[in-house]
Amino acid sequence: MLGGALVLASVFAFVALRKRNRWLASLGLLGGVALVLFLSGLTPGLTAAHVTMEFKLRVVTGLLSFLMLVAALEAVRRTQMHERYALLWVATGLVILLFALYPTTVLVWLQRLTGMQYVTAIVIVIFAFLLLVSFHFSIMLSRARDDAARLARRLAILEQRLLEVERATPPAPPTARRPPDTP
Amino acid sequence: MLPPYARDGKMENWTQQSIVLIPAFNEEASLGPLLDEVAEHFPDLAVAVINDCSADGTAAVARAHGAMVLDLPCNLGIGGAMQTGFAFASSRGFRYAIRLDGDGQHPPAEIPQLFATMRQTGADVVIGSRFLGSGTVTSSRWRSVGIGVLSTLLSYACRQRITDPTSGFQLVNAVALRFFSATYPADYPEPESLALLTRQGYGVAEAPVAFRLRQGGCSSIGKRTAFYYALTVVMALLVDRARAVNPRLARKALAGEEAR
Repeated sequence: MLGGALVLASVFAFVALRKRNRWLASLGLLGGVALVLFLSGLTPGLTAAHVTMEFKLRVVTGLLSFLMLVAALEAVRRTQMHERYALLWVATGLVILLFALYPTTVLVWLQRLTGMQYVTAIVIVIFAFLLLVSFHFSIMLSRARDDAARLARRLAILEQRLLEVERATPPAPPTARRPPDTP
Repeated sequence: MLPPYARDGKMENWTQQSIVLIPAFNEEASLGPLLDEVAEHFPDLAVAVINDCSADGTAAVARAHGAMVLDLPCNLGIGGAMQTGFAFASSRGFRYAIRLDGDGQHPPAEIPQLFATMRQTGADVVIGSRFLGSGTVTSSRWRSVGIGVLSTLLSYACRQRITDPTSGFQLVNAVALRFFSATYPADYPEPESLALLTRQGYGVAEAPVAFRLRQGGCSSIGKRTAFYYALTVVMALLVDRARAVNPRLARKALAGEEAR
Protein backbone atom coordinates (compact mmCIF):
# COMPACT_ATOMS: atom_id res chain seq x y z
CA MET A 1 0.00 0.00 0.00
CA LEU A 2 2.78 2.37 1.06
CA GLY A 3 4.93 1.40 -1.92
CA GLY A 4 1.98 1.79 -4.25
CA ALA A 5 1.24 5.29 -3.01
CA LEU A 6 4.92 6.23 -3.33
CA VAL A 7 5.03 4.97 -6.87
CA LEU A 8 1.82 6.79 -7.70
CA ALA A 9 3.11 10.09 -6.31
CA SER A 10 6.50 9.79 -8.01
CA VAL A 11 4.95 8.87 -11.35
CA PHE A 12 2.64 11.84 -11.12
CA ALA A 13 5.51 14.17 -10.22
CA PHE A 14 7.70 12.70 -12.96
CA VAL A 15 5.04 13.16 -15.63
CA ALA A 16 4.44 16.72 -14.50
CA LEU A 17 8.20 17.42 -14.57
CA ARG A 18 8.49 16.00 -18.08
CA LYS A 19 5.83 18.45 -19.15
CA ARG A 20 7.91 21.23 -17.52
CA ASN A 21 5.06 22.29 -15.35
CA ARG A 22 6.75 23.06 -12.03
CA TRP A 23 3.54 24.01 -10.33
CA LEU A 24 1.86 20.73 -11.20
CA ALA A 25 4.99 18.79 -10.28
CA SER A 26 5.32 20.31 -6.84
CA LEU A 27 1.61 19.83 -6.23
CA GLY A 28 1.94 16.19 -7.22
CA LEU A 29 4.97 15.71 -5.01
CA LEU A 30 3.26 17.44 -2.08
CA GLY A 31 0.12 15.39 -2.53
CA GLY A 32 2.16 12.23 -2.79
CA VAL A 33 4.14 12.97 0.35
CA ALA A 34 0.96 13.88 2.24
CA LEU A 35 -0.65 10.66 1.07
CA VAL A 36 2.34 8.60 2.13
CA LEU A 37 2.43 10.26 5.56
CA PHE A 38 -1.28 9.75 5.97
CA LEU A 39 -1.18 6.13 4.97
CA SER A 40 1.76 5.31 7.19
CA GLY A 41 -0.11 6.78 10.18
CA LEU A 42 2.44 9.51 10.88
CA THR A 43 -0.01 12.36 10.42
CA PRO A 44 -0.65 14.19 13.67
CA GLY A 45 -4.28 14.64 14.69
CA LEU A 46 -5.50 11.42 13.18
CA THR A 47 -5.26 8.49 15.52
CA ALA A 48 -4.85 4.97 14.29
CA ALA A 49 -8.44 4.27 15.21
CA HIS A 50 -9.74 6.63 12.56
CA VAL A 51 -7.43 5.40 9.87
CA THR A 52 -8.85 2.00 9.14
CA MET A 53 -7.73 -0.16 6.24
CA GLU A 54 -10.94 0.61 4.40
CA PHE A 55 -10.50 4.36 4.84
CA LYS A 56 -6.99 4.20 3.37
CA LEU A 57 -8.39 2.26 0.45
CA ARG A 58 -11.07 4.88 -0.09
CA VAL A 59 -8.45 7.60 -0.27
CA VAL A 60 -6.34 5.67 -2.75
CA THR A 61 -9.27 4.73 -5.00
CA GLY A 62 -10.59 8.28 -4.83
CA LEU A 63 -7.21 9.60 -5.93
CA LEU A 64 -7.02 6.99 -8.67
CA SER A 65 -10.41 7.91 -10.10
CA PHE A 66 -9.56 11.59 -9.88
CA LEU A 67 -6.32 11.03 -11.80
CA MET A 68 -8.14 8.95 -14.40
CA LEU A 69 -10.78 11.62 -14.95
CA VAL A 70 -8.24 14.43 -15.13
CA ALA A 71 -5.99 12.46 -17.50
CA ALA A 72 -8.87 11.55 -19.82
CA LEU A 73 -10.33 15.07 -19.95
CA GLU A 74 -6.88 16.62 -20.34
CA ALA A 75 -6.12 14.29 -23.25
CA VAL A 76 -9.36 15.35 -24.93
CA ARG A 77 -8.55 19.01 -24.27
CA ARG A 78 -5.16 18.63 -25.92
CA THR A 79 -6.86 16.83 -28.85
CA GLN A 80 -4.71 13.77 -28.21
CA MET A 81 -7.81 11.64 -27.78
CA HIS A 82 -11.19 11.62 -29.47
CA GLU A 83 -14.25 12.11 -27.28
CA ARG A 84 -15.68 8.72 -28.17
CA TYR A 85 -12.62 6.96 -26.74
CA ALA A 86 -12.48 9.19 -23.66
CA LEU A 87 -16.05 8.25 -22.80
CA LEU A 88 -15.14 4.79 -21.51
CA TRP A 89 -12.27 6.17 -19.44
CA VAL A 90 -14.47 8.83 -17.90
CA ALA A 91 -17.12 6.23 -17.12
CA THR A 92 -14.47 4.05 -15.45
CA GLY A 93 -13.25 7.01 -13.38
CA LEU A 94 -16.78 7.94 -12.33
CA VAL A 95 -17.65 4.42 -11.22
CA ILE A 96 -14.48 4.17 -9.16
CA LEU A 97 -15.21 7.59 -7.70
CA LEU A 98 -18.64 6.33 -6.69
CA PHE A 99 -16.95 3.49 -4.84
CA ALA A 100 -14.67 5.92 -3.01
CA LEU A 101 -17.40 8.39 -2.06
CA TYR A 102 -20.20 6.05 -1.04
CA PRO A 103 -18.51 2.83 -0.03
CA THR A 104 -21.21 1.73 2.40
CA THR A 105 -24.09 2.25 -0.01
CA VAL A 106 -22.33 0.51 -2.83
CA LEU A 107 -21.02 -2.15 -0.50
CA VAL A 108 -24.44 -3.00 0.94
CA TRP A 109 -25.92 -3.16 -2.53
CA LEU A 110 -23.06 -5.24 -3.84
CA GLN A 111 -23.05 -7.58 -0.85
CA ARG A 112 -26.73 -8.19 -1.21
CA LEU A 113 -26.15 -8.97 -4.86
CA THR A 114 -23.00 -11.08 -4.78
CA GLY A 115 -21.57 -11.23 -1.27
CA MET A 116 -18.30 -9.55 -2.29
CA GLN A 117 -16.14 -7.57 0.09
CA TYR A 118 -15.25 -3.94 -0.58
CA VAL A 119 -11.71 -4.63 -1.82
CA THR A 120 -12.77 -7.46 -4.09
CA ALA A 121 -15.55 -5.37 -5.52
CA ILE A 122 -13.17 -2.52 -6.39
CA VAL A 123 -10.69 -4.87 -8.00
CA ILE A 124 -13.44 -6.56 -10.00
CA VAL A 125 -14.89 -3.26 -11.19
CA ILE A 126 -11.52 -1.87 -12.26
CA PHE A 127 -10.65 -5.12 -13.98
CA ALA A 128 -13.98 -5.27 -15.79
CA PHE A 129 -13.61 -1.74 -17.07
CA LEU A 130 -10.04 -2.29 -18.19
CA LEU A 131 -11.23 -5.37 -20.09
CA LEU A 132 -13.95 -3.30 -21.72
CA VAL A 133 -11.55 -0.57 -22.68
CA SER A 134 -9.01 -2.94 -24.23
CA PHE A 135 -11.74 -4.82 -26.06
CA HIS A 136 -13.00 -1.53 -27.42
CA PHE A 137 -9.46 -0.75 -28.57
CA SER A 138 -9.09 -4.07 -30.36
CA ILE A 139 -12.23 -3.38 -32.35
CA MET A 140 -11.15 0.17 -33.14
CA LEU A 141 -7.68 -1.04 -34.14
CA SER A 142 -9.17 -3.60 -36.52
CA ARG A 143 -11.40 -0.95 -38.03
CA ALA A 144 -8.48 1.46 -38.47
CA ARG A 145 -6.44 -1.33 -40.06
CA ASP A 146 -9.29 -2.12 -42.48
CA ASP A 147 -9.53 1.53 -43.43
CA ALA A 148 -5.78 1.76 -44.02
CA ALA A 149 -5.85 -1.41 -46.15
CA ARG A 150 -8.74 -0.09 -48.24
CA LEU A 151 -6.87 3.17 -48.84
CA ALA A 152 -3.64 1.35 -49.70
CA ARG A 153 -5.45 -0.91 -52.20
CA ARG A 154 -7.10 1.99 -53.95
CA LEU A 155 -3.87 3.99 -54.00
CA ALA A 156 -1.90 1.12 -55.56
CA ILE A 157 -4.50 0.62 -58.30
CA LEU A 158 -4.75 4.34 -59.02
CA GLU A 159 -0.98 4.70 -59.22
CA GLN A 160 -0.71 2.00 -61.87
CA ARG A 161 -3.58 3.58 -63.77
CA LEU A 162 -1.95 7.00 -63.57
CA LEU A 163 1.28 5.55 -64.94
CA GLU A 164 -0.58 4.08 -67.90
CA VAL A 165 -2.45 7.32 -68.56
CA GLU A 166 0.81 9.27 -68.44
CA ARG A 167 2.43 6.87 -70.88
CA ALA A 168 -0.54 7.10 -73.25
CA THR A 169 -0.75 10.90 -73.32
CA PRO A 170 2.03 12.96 -74.90
CA PRO A 171 4.01 14.99 -72.38
CA ALA A 172 2.61 18.44 -71.73
CA PRO A 173 4.56 21.30 -73.37
CA PRO A 174 6.87 23.01 -70.91
CA THR A 175 5.38 26.18 -69.54
CA ALA A 176 7.00 29.33 -70.89
CA ARG A 177 7.05 31.12 -67.61
CA ARG A 178 7.26 29.91 -64.07
CA PRO A 179 4.52 30.99 -61.72
CA PRO A 180 5.64 34.14 -59.95
CA ASP A 181 5.61 32.60 -56.47
CA THR A 182 8.26 29.94 -57.18
CA PRO A 183 11.86 30.98 -56.56
CA MET B 1 -12.68 1.10 -70.00
CA LEU B 2 -13.13 -2.60 -70.77
CA PRO B 3 -10.95 -4.08 -73.47
CA PRO B 4 -13.09 -5.46 -76.34
CA TYR B 5 -12.01 -9.05 -75.77
CA ALA B 6 -12.83 -8.91 -72.10
CA ARG B 7 -16.35 -10.23 -72.13
CA ASP B 8 -16.70 -12.72 -74.95
CA GLY B 9 -16.37 -15.56 -72.47
CA LYS B 10 -14.62 -18.17 -74.64
CA MET B 11 -11.89 -20.00 -72.87
CA GLU B 12 -10.01 -20.81 -76.11
CA ASN B 13 -8.31 -17.43 -76.20
CA TRP B 14 -7.90 -17.30 -72.45
CA THR B 15 -4.50 -15.63 -72.55
CA GLN B 16 -6.11 -12.43 -73.81
CA GLN B 17 -8.81 -12.46 -71.15
CA SER B 18 -6.61 -13.32 -68.21
CA ILE B 19 -4.21 -11.63 -65.89
CA VAL B 20 -1.53 -13.22 -63.77
CA LEU B 21 -1.40 -11.84 -60.24
CA ILE B 22 1.86 -12.25 -58.38
CA PRO B 23 1.95 -11.11 -54.76
CA ALA B 24 5.56 -10.31 -53.93
CA PHE B 25 7.30 -9.34 -50.73
CA ASN B 26 11.08 -9.01 -51.10
CA GLU B 27 11.23 -11.36 -54.10
CA GLU B 28 13.63 -9.47 -56.38
CA ALA B 29 15.85 -12.56 -56.77
CA SER B 30 13.19 -14.94 -58.04
CA LEU B 31 10.74 -12.52 -59.64
CA GLY B 32 12.77 -11.76 -62.78
CA PRO B 33 13.15 -15.37 -63.96
CA LEU B 34 9.49 -16.06 -63.13
CA LEU B 35 8.26 -13.10 -65.20
CA ASP B 36 10.52 -14.14 -68.09
CA GLU B 37 9.14 -17.67 -67.88
CA VAL B 38 5.54 -16.43 -67.99
CA ALA B 39 6.32 -14.23 -71.00
CA GLU B 40 8.09 -17.11 -72.72
CA HIS B 41 5.11 -19.47 -72.38
CA PHE B 42 2.32 -16.94 -72.84
CA PRO B 43 3.55 -13.77 -74.58
CA ASP B 44 0.17 -12.01 -74.67
CA LEU B 45 -0.78 -12.71 -71.05
CA ALA B 46 -1.09 -9.64 -68.81
CA VAL B 47 0.89 -9.76 -65.58
CA ALA B 48 0.50 -7.62 -62.47
CA VAL B 49 2.91 -7.85 -59.56
CA ILE B 50 1.48 -6.71 -56.24
CA ASN B 51 4.42 -5.30 -54.34
CA ASP B 52 3.53 -5.62 -50.67
CA CYS B 53 5.80 -2.78 -49.57
CA SER B 54 9.05 -4.67 -50.16
CA ALA B 55 12.31 -3.29 -48.83
CA ASP B 56 14.25 -4.46 -51.90
CA GLY B 57 13.92 -3.66 -55.61
CA THR B 58 10.90 -5.90 -56.25
CA ALA B 59 8.87 -3.15 -57.96
CA ALA B 60 11.76 -2.07 -60.18
CA VAL B 61 12.51 -5.67 -61.21
CA ALA B 62 8.84 -6.24 -62.06
CA ARG B 63 8.63 -3.07 -64.18
CA ALA B 64 11.90 -3.90 -65.91
CA HIS B 65 10.42 -7.25 -66.93
CA GLY B 66 7.33 -5.63 -68.36
CA ALA B 67 4.82 -6.35 -65.62
CA MET B 68 2.28 -3.94 -64.25
CA VAL B 69 3.02 -3.10 -60.64
CA LEU B 70 0.53 -2.44 -57.90
CA ASP B 71 2.73 -0.72 -55.36
CA LEU B 72 1.24 -0.91 -51.87
CA PRO B 73 2.31 1.95 -49.61
CA CYS B 74 2.18 -0.21 -46.48
CA ASN B 75 2.49 -3.92 -45.83
CA LEU B 76 -0.97 -5.52 -45.98
CA GLY B 77 0.06 -9.15 -45.81
CA ILE B 78 -0.77 -11.76 -48.42
CA GLY B 79 -4.55 -11.36 -48.04
CA GLY B 80 -4.53 -7.60 -48.53
CA ALA B 81 -2.11 -7.89 -51.45
CA MET B 82 -4.26 -10.50 -53.19
CA GLN B 83 -7.42 -8.49 -52.67
CA THR B 84 -5.67 -5.53 -54.34
CA GLY B 85 -4.87 -7.76 -57.30
CA PHE B 86 -8.40 -9.17 -57.51
CA ALA B 87 -9.95 -5.70 -57.36
CA PHE B 88 -7.57 -4.53 -60.07
CA ALA B 89 -8.34 -7.50 -62.33
CA SER B 90 -12.05 -7.07 -61.79
CA SER B 91 -11.97 -3.31 -62.48
CA ARG B 92 -10.04 -3.91 -65.70
CA GLY B 93 -12.66 -6.37 -66.89
CA PHE B 94 -10.47 -9.47 -66.99
CA ARG B 95 -12.47 -12.68 -67.03
CA TYR B 96 -9.83 -14.79 -65.33
CA ALA B 97 -7.08 -14.15 -62.82
CA ILE B 98 -4.29 -16.62 -62.14
CA ARG B 99 -2.41 -16.31 -58.91
CA LEU B 100 1.23 -17.32 -58.93
CA ASP B 101 3.58 -17.07 -55.96
CA GLY B 102 6.60 -14.83 -56.40
CA ASP B 103 9.04 -17.46 -55.20
CA GLY B 104 8.66 -19.55 -58.36
CA GLN B 105 6.98 -22.55 -56.70
CA HIS B 106 4.19 -22.51 -59.24
CA PRO B 107 5.33 -23.36 -62.78
CA PRO B 108 3.54 -21.12 -65.31
CA ALA B 109 3.52 -24.01 -67.79
CA GLU B 110 0.86 -25.67 -65.63
CA ILE B 111 -1.63 -22.83 -66.04
CA PRO B 112 -3.54 -24.56 -68.93
CA GLN B 113 -4.08 -27.46 -66.54
CA LEU B 114 -6.11 -25.14 -64.30
CA PHE B 115 -8.16 -23.93 -67.26
CA ALA B 116 -8.83 -27.50 -68.35
CA THR B 117 -10.22 -28.31 -64.93
CA MET B 118 -12.33 -25.14 -64.91
CA ARG B 119 -13.76 -26.07 -68.30
CA GLN B 120 -14.55 -29.61 -67.18
CA THR B 121 -16.06 -28.80 -63.80
CA GLY B 122 -17.52 -25.34 -64.36
CA ALA B 123 -16.04 -24.26 -61.05
CA ASP B 124 -15.53 -20.58 -60.24
CA VAL B 125 -12.18 -21.16 -58.57
CA VAL B 126 -9.66 -23.88 -59.41
CA ILE B 127 -6.84 -24.72 -57.01
CA GLY B 128 -3.60 -26.27 -58.20
CA SER B 129 -3.03 -29.16 -55.82
CA ARG B 130 0.41 -30.65 -55.37
CA PHE B 131 -1.06 -33.78 -53.77
CA LEU B 132 -3.22 -34.77 -56.74
CA GLY B 133 -0.30 -34.46 -59.15
CA SER B 134 2.63 -36.73 -59.86
CA GLY B 135 5.30 -34.25 -58.80
CA THR B 136 7.49 -34.88 -55.79
CA VAL B 137 6.33 -33.23 -52.60
CA THR B 138 9.04 -32.32 -50.17
CA SER B 139 7.58 -31.35 -46.85
CA SER B 140 8.61 -31.72 -43.25
CA ARG B 141 6.69 -34.20 -41.15
CA TRP B 142 5.01 -31.59 -38.97
CA ARG B 143 4.00 -29.56 -41.97
CA SER B 144 2.35 -32.54 -43.62
CA VAL B 145 0.53 -33.35 -40.38
CA GLY B 146 -0.72 -29.77 -40.23
CA ILE B 147 -1.82 -29.86 -43.86
CA GLY B 148 -3.60 -33.17 -43.23
CA VAL B 149 -5.55 -31.77 -40.29
CA LEU B 150 -6.38 -28.59 -42.19
CA SER B 151 -7.41 -30.58 -45.25
CA THR B 152 -9.82 -32.70 -43.19
CA LEU B 153 -11.34 -29.67 -41.51
CA LEU B 154 -11.63 -27.69 -44.73
CA SER B 155 -13.10 -30.64 -46.61
CA TYR B 156 -15.77 -30.77 -43.94
CA ALA B 157 -16.37 -27.01 -44.12
CA CYS B 158 -16.61 -27.09 -47.93
CA ARG B 159 -18.56 -30.36 -48.04
CA GLN B 160 -16.13 -31.61 -50.68
CA ARG B 161 -12.64 -33.09 -50.78
CA ILE B 162 -9.85 -30.48 -50.62
CA THR B 163 -6.42 -32.09 -50.80
CA ASP B 164 -4.20 -29.00 -50.77
CA PRO B 165 -5.77 -26.34 -48.55
CA THR B 166 -2.73 -24.03 -48.45
CA SER B 167 -2.04 -23.91 -52.18
CA GLY B 168 -1.70 -20.42 -53.61
CA PHE B 169 -1.78 -21.60 -57.23
CA GLN B 170 -5.28 -20.53 -58.19
CA LEU B 171 -7.45 -19.69 -61.15
CA VAL B 172 -10.34 -17.34 -60.40
CA ASN B 173 -13.16 -16.47 -62.81
CA ALA B 174 -14.94 -13.12 -63.17
CA VAL B 175 -17.75 -13.84 -60.72
CA ALA B 176 -15.37 -15.04 -58.01
CA LEU B 177 -13.14 -12.05 -58.78
CA ARG B 178 -15.96 -9.73 -57.90
CA PHE B 179 -16.61 -11.69 -54.72
CA PHE B 180 -12.94 -11.56 -53.73
CA SER B 181 -12.70 -7.81 -54.43
CA ALA B 182 -15.50 -7.29 -51.94
CA THR B 183 -14.36 -9.70 -49.26
CA TYR B 184 -11.14 -11.59 -48.76
CA PRO B 185 -9.52 -12.83 -45.55
CA ALA B 186 -6.53 -10.85 -44.32
CA ASP B 187 -4.18 -13.39 -42.73
CA TYR B 188 -3.39 -16.76 -44.30
CA PRO B 189 -6.29 -16.42 -46.77
CA GLU B 190 -6.03 -19.61 -48.85
CA PRO B 191 -8.01 -22.09 -46.70
CA GLU B 192 -10.49 -19.55 -45.41
CA SER B 193 -11.25 -18.13 -48.85
CA LEU B 194 -12.25 -21.62 -50.05
CA ALA B 195 -14.63 -22.01 -47.12
CA LEU B 196 -16.13 -18.57 -47.82
CA LEU B 197 -16.57 -19.43 -51.50
CA THR B 198 -18.42 -22.69 -50.96
CA ARG B 199 -20.56 -21.14 -48.26
CA GLN B 200 -21.71 -18.41 -50.64
CA GLY B 201 -22.53 -20.95 -53.34
CA TYR B 202 -19.42 -20.70 -55.54
CA GLY B 203 -17.94 -23.80 -57.14
CA VAL B 204 -14.43 -24.89 -56.16
CA ALA B 205 -12.35 -27.58 -57.84
CA GLU B 206 -8.80 -28.88 -57.65
CA ALA B 207 -6.43 -29.59 -60.50
CA PRO B 208 -3.37 -31.85 -60.28
CA VAL B 209 -0.28 -29.68 -60.64
CA ALA B 210 3.42 -30.34 -60.14
CA PHE B 211 5.00 -27.77 -57.86
CA ARG B 212 8.67 -26.86 -57.83
CA LEU B 213 10.97 -26.07 -54.97
CA ARG B 214 10.97 -22.39 -54.16
CA GLN B 215 13.55 -20.60 -56.29
CA GLY B 216 14.51 -18.06 -53.66
CA GLY B 217 13.29 -16.38 -50.50
CA CYS B 218 11.73 -18.34 -47.69
CA SER B 219 8.27 -19.46 -46.66
CA SER B 220 6.15 -16.90 -44.90
CA ILE B 221 5.27 -19.65 -42.43
CA GLY B 222 8.25 -20.57 -40.29
CA LYS B 223 8.46 -23.10 -37.50
CA ARG B 224 7.36 -20.61 -34.91
CA THR B 225 4.45 -19.16 -36.85
CA ALA B 226 3.11 -22.55 -37.99
CA PHE B 227 1.24 -23.05 -34.72
CA TYR B 228 -0.15 -19.53 -34.90
CA TYR B 229 -1.13 -20.19 -38.52
CA ALA B 230 -3.05 -23.32 -37.58
CA LEU B 231 -4.87 -21.61 -34.70
CA THR B 232 -5.80 -18.55 -36.79
CA VAL B 233 -7.11 -20.62 -39.67
CA VAL B 234 -9.09 -23.01 -37.49
CA MET B 235 -10.67 -20.12 -35.61
CA ALA B 236 -11.47 -18.31 -38.86
CA LEU B 237 -13.07 -21.45 -40.32
CA LEU B 238 -15.24 -21.94 -37.24
CA VAL B 239 -16.29 -18.29 -37.04
CA ASP B 240 -17.12 -18.24 -40.75
CA ARG B 241 -19.58 -21.07 -40.29
CA ALA B 242 -21.30 -19.05 -37.60
CA ARG B 243 -21.59 -16.03 -39.86
CA ALA B 244 -24.75 -15.53 -41.90
CA VAL B 245 -24.56 -15.95 -45.66
CA ASN B 246 -24.40 -12.53 -47.29
CA PRO B 247 -27.07 -12.55 -50.02
CA ARG B 248 -25.54 -9.56 -51.81
CA LEU B 249 -22.30 -11.49 -52.33
CA ALA B 250 -23.89 -14.85 -53.06
CA ARG B 251 -23.00 -16.47 -56.37
CA LYS B 252 -26.47 -15.98 -57.82
CA ALA B 253 -26.46 -12.22 -57.14
CA LEU B 254 -22.98 -11.54 -58.54
CA ALA B 255 -23.40 -13.88 -61.51
CA GLY B 256 -26.61 -12.04 -62.38
CA GLU B 257 -24.81 -8.69 -62.30
CA GLU B 258 -21.97 -10.14 -64.35
CA ALA B 259 -24.33 -11.34 -67.10
CA ARG B 260 -26.01 -7.94 -67.38
